[in-house]
Amino acid sequence: MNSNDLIALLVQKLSIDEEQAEGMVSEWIQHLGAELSTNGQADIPGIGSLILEGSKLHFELDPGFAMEVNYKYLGMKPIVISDDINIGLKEPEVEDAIDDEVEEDSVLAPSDTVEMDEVLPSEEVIADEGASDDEEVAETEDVSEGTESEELTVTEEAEEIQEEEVQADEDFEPEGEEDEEPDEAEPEQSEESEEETEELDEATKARIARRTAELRSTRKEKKSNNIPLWVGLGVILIAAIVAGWQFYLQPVMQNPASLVGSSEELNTVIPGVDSLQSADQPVSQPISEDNQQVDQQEEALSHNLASEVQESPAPAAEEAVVSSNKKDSVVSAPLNATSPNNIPPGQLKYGLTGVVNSQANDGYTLVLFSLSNRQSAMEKYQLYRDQGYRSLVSPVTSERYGLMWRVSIGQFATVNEALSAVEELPTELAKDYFITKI
Amino acid sequence: MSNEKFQDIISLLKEQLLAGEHVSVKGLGSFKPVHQTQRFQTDEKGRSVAHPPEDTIEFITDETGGDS
Repeated sequence: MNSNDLIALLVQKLSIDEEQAEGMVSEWIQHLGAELSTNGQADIPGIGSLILEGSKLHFELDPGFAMEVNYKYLGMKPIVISDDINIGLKEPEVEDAIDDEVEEDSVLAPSDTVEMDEVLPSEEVIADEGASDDEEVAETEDVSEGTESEELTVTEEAEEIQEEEVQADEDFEPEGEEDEEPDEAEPEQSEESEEETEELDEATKARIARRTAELRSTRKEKKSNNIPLWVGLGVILIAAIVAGWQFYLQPVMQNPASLVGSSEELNTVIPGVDSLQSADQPVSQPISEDNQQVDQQEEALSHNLASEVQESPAPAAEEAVVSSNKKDSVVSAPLNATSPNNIPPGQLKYGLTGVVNSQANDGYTLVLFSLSNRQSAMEKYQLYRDQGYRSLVSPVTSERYGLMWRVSIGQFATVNEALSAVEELPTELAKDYFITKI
Repeated sequence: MSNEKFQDIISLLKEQLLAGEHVSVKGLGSFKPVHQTQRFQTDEKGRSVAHPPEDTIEFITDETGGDS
């Protein structure tokens, strides 16, 4: 609409003549111009501000009005749809590398150390073969207990020995050079001390190698002891998931019609659902005189509010996303998935149309509505189902808006497949959708 | 001069923008509702991130003094 249309609307709305309306608009523009020239900024209350930046006029939308304009997508946050980073995968590689080193050291150690230490055999078994039976494990535990406290001492000892070795070499060499013409006894002594030093070298090296292998072997044993703990935790987690499925979601999935039934039925299915009525239409509605538009806006008002509902703007960064995820517990399992036995033969696992396949709930879907009214949601669900789409409705719990009902269509393996399917949708659906994980 | 005096104009402008109308005011500029579709980006960690659609209002200065 242009200025003439605006004036005509003013005339109609305020029951004034055209000259008066023109005067009002003209006066308003002059007022904005004066504000801009004096303050560099002119406010349009409830809409935004015009800000003069150099010679350019910049418009800043009022945050409240921005929310009203963007009510369809209010609270939606960016979602990570693929995460290829898994730090945990790197750990085993490191362990393997350590194991390899240990094995190499262990293989080398015995031949060097057999002569050195009488205590060796029981310890060497651990380094060479690992804990393959109970006795060895017991021995390993004993050794590891001792080694843990002795670890530093042993390392220090090895370092001291190395230092002594270096010192011995340094002490020896100058003597040989300086005393070129000593009495005859001294060369013999130096030969003996040379041999002793060589023996000491071998002994020291062997001992260091053995201790290193021993310490690494101990570390390896300690790490492997965590496996039962992780297995136990995994079992507990799986049991909790199964229990949750059995007692909470399965009854709902088996009888989705109960969701549109009486509140008594619902109370037996989903606790707290009786607060549903109070959660209807939680956001102020945009003003519109057109009845049809009002109807559309009422329906769309709660459109897509469900996912990560939070008002703070996107720059609040990851903390805001994390907090919103914590606040909103989302029950994402569709209520009307069909078991694989009831799926028509020949139907692909993923797709836009057909019957909802419970096995395809690991993919993506096109969210069309998130409604606070369960009856409306079920009507939408039925509408798209009748049109041949794989129609899904999922309850979504939002701390702010209570229980919402997300209506979506299609089951897709990847986001790209979902995007391709959008091209098949009618215009009214294709212009307003949101891809999310099922 | 108070903004209250122009409240009727502002209300009308707001109403039209919420209804998705493009409003052009001669001597000032144009207010235009804009829809940004869902878009995908790769973040610094190499992950694919889906950004939700967004409706907003853009303002274009009336440099010519014309009225569309």
